[in-house]
Amino acid sequence: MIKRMVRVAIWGVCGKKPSIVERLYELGVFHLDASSEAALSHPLLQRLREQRGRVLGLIEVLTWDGWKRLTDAFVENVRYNLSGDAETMMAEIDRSLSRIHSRLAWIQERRESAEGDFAELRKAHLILTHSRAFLEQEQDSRGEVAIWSLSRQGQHALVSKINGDLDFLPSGHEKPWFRHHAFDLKDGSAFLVTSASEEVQPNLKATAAAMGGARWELPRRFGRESLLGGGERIKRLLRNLPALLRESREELRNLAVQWGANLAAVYILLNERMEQLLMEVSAEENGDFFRLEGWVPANDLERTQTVLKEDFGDSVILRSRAPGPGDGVVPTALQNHPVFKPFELFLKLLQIPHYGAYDPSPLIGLFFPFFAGCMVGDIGYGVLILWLGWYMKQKNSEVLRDVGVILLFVAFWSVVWGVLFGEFLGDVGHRLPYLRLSPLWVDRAHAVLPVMAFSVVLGGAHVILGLFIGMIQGIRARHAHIWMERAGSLLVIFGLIAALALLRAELPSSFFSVPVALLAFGLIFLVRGGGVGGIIESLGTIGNIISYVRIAAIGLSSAILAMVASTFVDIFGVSILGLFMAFSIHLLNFVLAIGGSALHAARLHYVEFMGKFYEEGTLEYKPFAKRRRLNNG
Amino acid sequence: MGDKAIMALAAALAVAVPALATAYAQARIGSAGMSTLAEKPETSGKIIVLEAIPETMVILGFVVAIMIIMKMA
Repeated sequence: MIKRMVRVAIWGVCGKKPSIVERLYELGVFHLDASSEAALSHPLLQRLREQRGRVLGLIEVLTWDGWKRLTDAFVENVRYNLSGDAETMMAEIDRSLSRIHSRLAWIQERRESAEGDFAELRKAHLILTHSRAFLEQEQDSRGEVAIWSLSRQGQHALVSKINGDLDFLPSGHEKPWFRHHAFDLKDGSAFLVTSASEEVQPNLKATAAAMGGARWELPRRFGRESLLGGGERIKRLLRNLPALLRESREELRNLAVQWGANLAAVYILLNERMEQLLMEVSAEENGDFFRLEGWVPANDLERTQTVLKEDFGDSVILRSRAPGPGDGVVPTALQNHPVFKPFELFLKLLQIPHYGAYDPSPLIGLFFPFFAGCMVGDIGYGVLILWLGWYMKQKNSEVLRDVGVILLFVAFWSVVWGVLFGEFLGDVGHRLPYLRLSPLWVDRAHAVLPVMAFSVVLGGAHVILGLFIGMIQGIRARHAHIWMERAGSLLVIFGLIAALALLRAELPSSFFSVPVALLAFGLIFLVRGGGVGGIIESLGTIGNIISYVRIAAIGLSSAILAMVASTFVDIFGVSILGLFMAFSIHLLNFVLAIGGSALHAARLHYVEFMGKFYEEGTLEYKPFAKRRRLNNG
Repeated sequence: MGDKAIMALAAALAVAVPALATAYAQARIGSAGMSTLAEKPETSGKIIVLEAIPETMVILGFVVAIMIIMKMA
């Protein structure tokens, strides 16, 4: 059902505009006409939007994800501590944001520095670990020890050259000497540790430079410390660094705990403030008065009037009337019985119906589970769908809860049809000695025609209902071409049904004047309503009715597949392989039964049924209301 | 070839040919539908319905096949 709407104009004193708008916001029933460009680009609104972006950015940087734990009471407490004036509120929020920013910057700087140190020290530690034995061996020699970053090729060339030149060097009291040790790291870098007497040093340095080598030194903070001594200190520092990194991560977590919820509350409050401000700037001002125009559901009008009168007395006037031709598009709001409300989900895949059109949700609620259940038609699968529906109904997501309720309806009809077809996991119910299940109506795996005929009759009734609703809608909207075309199609269908019935009853030919008259009138209406296209449309309608045979076809395939599963137990016996194969086939069949039945039952509704009357609208009722859905704990 | 064999072949073709046609149509609709979804995710409902439309062909083929088999039996 579609809610009846009334057009309202609210006149108020400019001085009380913010409090009137806030009261309307709390009432949550007023739908404002579209805001102007000027209102949307109001400077204060822009600044609020930017600040909201900064708050959201900080929440993301803090990786805070406690939205589900946020309560209304907490948000209200934050609101209580903030100023009511938008400018002052923004200044307060800015001050808090800069405090969090500077704290965050300090933590990040510490973490980055620790991470940088860790990488540098880790590499130094690796180099010194590889060099340690050589350094210890050379610590008593009187030569100079150095570590060179040099490619493998360069190392070979350098070692050959220095060793070759040793014999030509003048020797003093001691013969010139050169010793070396080479190693590679996993990152691909190659190093050469050298120890050489004083005479060799100039040649060594020049050759290393010529080969593209660079002398590796301890990190700067170690000053002139020896390589071996530096190695020990690096080891100690590396032991402490992970703790430092953990500490900075802990600090970030603490900052998120301290500020995350507050920032989220501020984000929600900024959103709400923006919506109220948009309403305020959208109001048309005329001297000391302002005017707001929009829509309110008829059943909420009295409450709105009473609340505004009680709170603001003569400072506000509300005028209302039924929608008129000059009011533009009327917003649509759906209102269905809680049993059928989950079936509004089917309309979410389309545009919401036009105001004044017919809301098919209750009819979908009746027919969809009936069709889908007929396709599944198995007690065992029905029980599984019942469990699945119950499980989904407990979920937090509204969509999943709706799907869960729909599945419960499908499960009910699956069990009912399962009893009529005598199916429990295919023919397992029949095979079990203590159950000996037999069909109450027909065994659909063997008697195909009765189920097919039943599907077509079902389709005929469903399509006729759709055409009838379409015709009534056409008459109510005074669209002659629509109602004539629908009436023409109805007459043609009734004519064909009458002709078939007479043929079956083998009545005399004089009785055929009734179906012939119905067909003739039907064709006249079709041509008047939609011209030649109308006749083609009526042929399509007959095709639509035959399309319902899919209910029998999908049901038949599901029943046969379930029997195939039992056949595996016949072939392999009650063994692990037999049971595994039977279970796999049943699982596949169950998935196909749920997916296929839902998809085809939905298609029958969207194309064959709703195609006859559904009118898509363009404007959904969006009340000026708080959108937060937090828990009240 | 006997009458029954021809009827059985006709029943098989009544399902097989529309099944191939349906598969071809669904493949084309599916690829176009995915391109549409990439740009307009809100059209998912319509795409699902469009994807299911060609299946009418194979359903009607199935009806014809059943009728042939019934006649044969």
